[in-house]
Amino acid sequence: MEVNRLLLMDSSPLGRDGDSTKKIMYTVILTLLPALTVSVWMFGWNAVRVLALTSIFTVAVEALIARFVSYRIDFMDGSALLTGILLAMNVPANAPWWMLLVGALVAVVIGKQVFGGLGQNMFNPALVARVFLLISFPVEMTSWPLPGAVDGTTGATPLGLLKTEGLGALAGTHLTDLALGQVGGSLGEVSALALLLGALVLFYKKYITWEIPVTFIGTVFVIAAVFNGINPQTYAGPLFHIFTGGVFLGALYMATDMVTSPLTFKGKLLFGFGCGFFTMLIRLFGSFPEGVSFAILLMNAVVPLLDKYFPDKRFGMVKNG
Amino acid sequence: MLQLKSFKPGGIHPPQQKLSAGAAITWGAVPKQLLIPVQQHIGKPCKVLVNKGDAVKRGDLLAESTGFISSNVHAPLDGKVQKIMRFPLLGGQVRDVIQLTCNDAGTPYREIVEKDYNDQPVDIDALDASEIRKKIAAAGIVGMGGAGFPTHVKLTPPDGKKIDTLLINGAECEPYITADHRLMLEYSREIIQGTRLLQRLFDGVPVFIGIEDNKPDALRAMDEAAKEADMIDVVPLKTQYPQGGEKQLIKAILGREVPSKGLPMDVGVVVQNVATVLAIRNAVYFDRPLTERVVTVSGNLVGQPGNIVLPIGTPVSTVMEQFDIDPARVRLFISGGPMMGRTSYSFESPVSKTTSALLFFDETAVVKREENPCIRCGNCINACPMGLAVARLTEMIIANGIDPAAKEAVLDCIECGSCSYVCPADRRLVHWMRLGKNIIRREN
Amino acid sequence: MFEIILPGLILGVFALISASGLYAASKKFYVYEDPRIEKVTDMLPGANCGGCGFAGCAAFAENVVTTMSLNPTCPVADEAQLDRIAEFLGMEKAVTEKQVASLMCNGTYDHSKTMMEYTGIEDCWAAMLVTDTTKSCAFSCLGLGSCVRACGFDAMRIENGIVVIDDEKCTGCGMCVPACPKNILHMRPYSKRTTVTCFNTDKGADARKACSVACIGCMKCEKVCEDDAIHVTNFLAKINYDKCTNCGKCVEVCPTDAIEIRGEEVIAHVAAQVV
Repeated sequence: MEVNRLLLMDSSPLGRDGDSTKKIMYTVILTLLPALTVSVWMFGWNAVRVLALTSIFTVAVEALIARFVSYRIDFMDGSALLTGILLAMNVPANAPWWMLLVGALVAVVIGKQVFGGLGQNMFNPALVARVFLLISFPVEMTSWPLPGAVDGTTGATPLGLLKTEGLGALAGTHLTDLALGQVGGSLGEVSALALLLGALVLFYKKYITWEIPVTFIGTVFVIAAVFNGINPQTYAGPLFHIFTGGVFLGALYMATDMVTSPLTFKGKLLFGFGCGFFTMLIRLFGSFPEGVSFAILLMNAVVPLLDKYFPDKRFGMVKNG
Repeated sequence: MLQLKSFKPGGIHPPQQKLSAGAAITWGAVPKQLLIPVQQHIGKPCKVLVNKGDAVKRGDLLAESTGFISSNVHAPLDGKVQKIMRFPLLGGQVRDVIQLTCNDAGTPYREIVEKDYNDQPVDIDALDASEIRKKIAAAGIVGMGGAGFPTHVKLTPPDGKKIDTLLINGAECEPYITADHRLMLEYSREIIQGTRLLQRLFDGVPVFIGIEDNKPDALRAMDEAAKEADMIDVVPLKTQYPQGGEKQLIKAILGREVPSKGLPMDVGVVVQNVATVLAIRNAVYFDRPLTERVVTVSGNLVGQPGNIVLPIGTPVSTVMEQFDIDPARVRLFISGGPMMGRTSYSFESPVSKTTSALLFFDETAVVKREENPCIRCGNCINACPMGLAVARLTEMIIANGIDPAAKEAVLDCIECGSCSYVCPADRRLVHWMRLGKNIIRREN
Repeated sequence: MFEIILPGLILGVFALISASGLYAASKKFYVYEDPRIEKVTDMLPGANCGGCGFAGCAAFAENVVTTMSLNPTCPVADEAQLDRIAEFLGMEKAVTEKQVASLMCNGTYDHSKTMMEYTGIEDCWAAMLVTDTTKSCAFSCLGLGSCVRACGFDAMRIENGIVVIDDEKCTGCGMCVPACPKNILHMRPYSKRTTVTCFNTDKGADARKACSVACIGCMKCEKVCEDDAIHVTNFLAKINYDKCTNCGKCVEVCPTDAIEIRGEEVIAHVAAQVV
């Protein structure tokens, strides 16, 4: 016990405010509960199945890496679990288990650990997995079960309908349905309001700031409004665009991911703008109905540049008066 | 309600823990021996004037400054020089100290000090500015807020630098420390006297005394004392760390931003801490050298936290006896506040001119800090009062590749500790920044 | 048939034009470089360690050729390699002995007392920002391995609180010397195996209190040395390697074991050569 009596020597400061990576991760997971509840309500036990499988798979993959790769990983720090839940929110509720396993492997191994683990990845792991699955298994990833459909009927998302059949096919869809989640789609795409509810907590805790969500959703809104104004017969309205697909999930939970978003004020604004811009570019002119994932991944790639070339103003950068 | 003044950007709100705010300043007994550090300031080292066996009197010069940026060291008590040796100081440095055995061990220290102030004060109106500066330099006064920069240098701006405002720093933003708080309560009149002296040095410029609003009694006392003084205003400040940082204080009170790499005098300001101002007053009015200071003794191991006047060179162990602190239970011992203070490892280390507090904590108060990977949350950047991209800068320092633009930013760091305090990954950001500064200085 | 010839022809013409362009450029922008520089570079070990003070082996070779001198020398190359370069350039043989790093401290956990639990960044310079020492001696090796990280040859490791140097792996590049904030790493000739393993300049009693194997400046070594190779200044013995003969007498008389002679078999080997 001799050693215990030695005094500690360390650099200042000697206090901490008690926040931790773990705390942040689990708080984010908790704030996803309202949206998850809506998903379960919409898609029933299938949603629970997808959620459970992706969560177990991602944590298990991370645990295996922690066990067999030499560097230090805390697989229970919540980051793997969060990736798993976000992945679940990005796939249809009837996704087969093997697809989820592939998704988990891609998310954790290619999306995160090959870059050096937590904090080092350039791209949002859950989105890497989603895009990988979307390209590899296009049929499974685009046959969306309709909410409340017990017989397992599937259909296209409102955006898919818009792409393939034109605006006329959407005549029966109401905006309130979109906002509340009464439409087909992936687990997390369904209810914009539930997502916003959870995100309010994140705003309050300052885990996310307004810059990225506001510019992201704002850009989508403005671009949609402009095209809708030019030709309302072909292009859907701005509210339709922000409430469908993954805009809310993307703007509140995916684009604001701390690791893969810029650190600076101007960087965040540009990042949010870029996400919105590319989303609309893909939605309006691309071959995919939805572009949120691609847009965020594209912008992830330029984050280091944004950080470098749009730094915050330092104290004392004034003309010598 | 009026918006209280504060600085921008950054800042944090750690728990204040001003446990000793209500405890009046006490005086202990004269210790058996003193270990007087030869160098207690930033700048050129002193030349020791005494030898082993010499008898010295209170106020005698022990070590002499060797240049302009240097400071004298005086004997706080009568005694005999035992030895000059290398000894661990508070803060971990091992430096030369003069060991002095005191003649009056056990007598109340207050009696000895108060004898000095029985005489008639010198006629200060007869002194001109250069005489006042000379007295301050002779008294060995250094910045008592913590940095220890020789005060007479700060008060002698080079030609061409016009000083138009004087700030007195009573913010005391560090948690736990209450030494300045108590001084402002109990010696408000003397501090204002000192302030008026400084005001005279700069031809009667306006003076602002900045005090955080968590000390309403000190605000009232200083306001009262400053009432009849011309152009001296007490400014309540928002309680926000690091309000007492020189650059932050100037920004908060005057809205001026000290340029990067610059000094307060670049924006026409001189900042002095209240304890320093009191020392200046004593030096000019009574020709008293700086030989004692008020130290806050606090922490979770201290039953009755307090503020005590200690002669410079008092070994910490004698203070621990007076405050009944069990050395065996101490796990973390900090001199200064928890945000910017330094840890120490020897209880025999002596109090110096810059020791504002002695904090004692046991195992339960220790934060175990394993460094986790940065998750780029940006908390450090939001907290940094200098607007530095701490996360990016520390990455460069760790990779040993600080690019030229980043070097300036690293050198701007004031080491306030806000970034490390808020880091959820418990990264040792301040330590890395300090290492980065060290690397840059070694390169040059 | 034509379909095959036409692309061939087009590509051939392209190739011809590009080739003549390249040829013209190589003539026009030709920079003369002494061919010997490349040869000398090839003869060097190629570690690019910078131990010579130049920005790599090629820069060093250029200096050798332009100044026709092997001074400053390549600390990594062995004698045979340096001889070959000297021979190639027609210089006199440049016999310089390999230098190795040695630590002027033996303040292991057993010899000096650990005074604190340092929990900051694992780096000697970082530790120096918090405390001057982690042990009872103010001059001691911190044992946090800044030199180990500076060593490009895997010749150093931390053992029992101090750094241990492998003389065989050490190439004498000297990169560890400025990496030490305590300034206790010094270079010595490979064959001179006697070292004072202390850097404490405190008075004898204080030094002894700090570490059981500290040099106390008792002067015994200075008196016993027949070659005038060891002297005490500031209560610290220092060896002049130009004069030291590895006789080992100082090691025998040192009351605190502060002088060390490394690898007896090597000494015998050197002694045999001298005879």
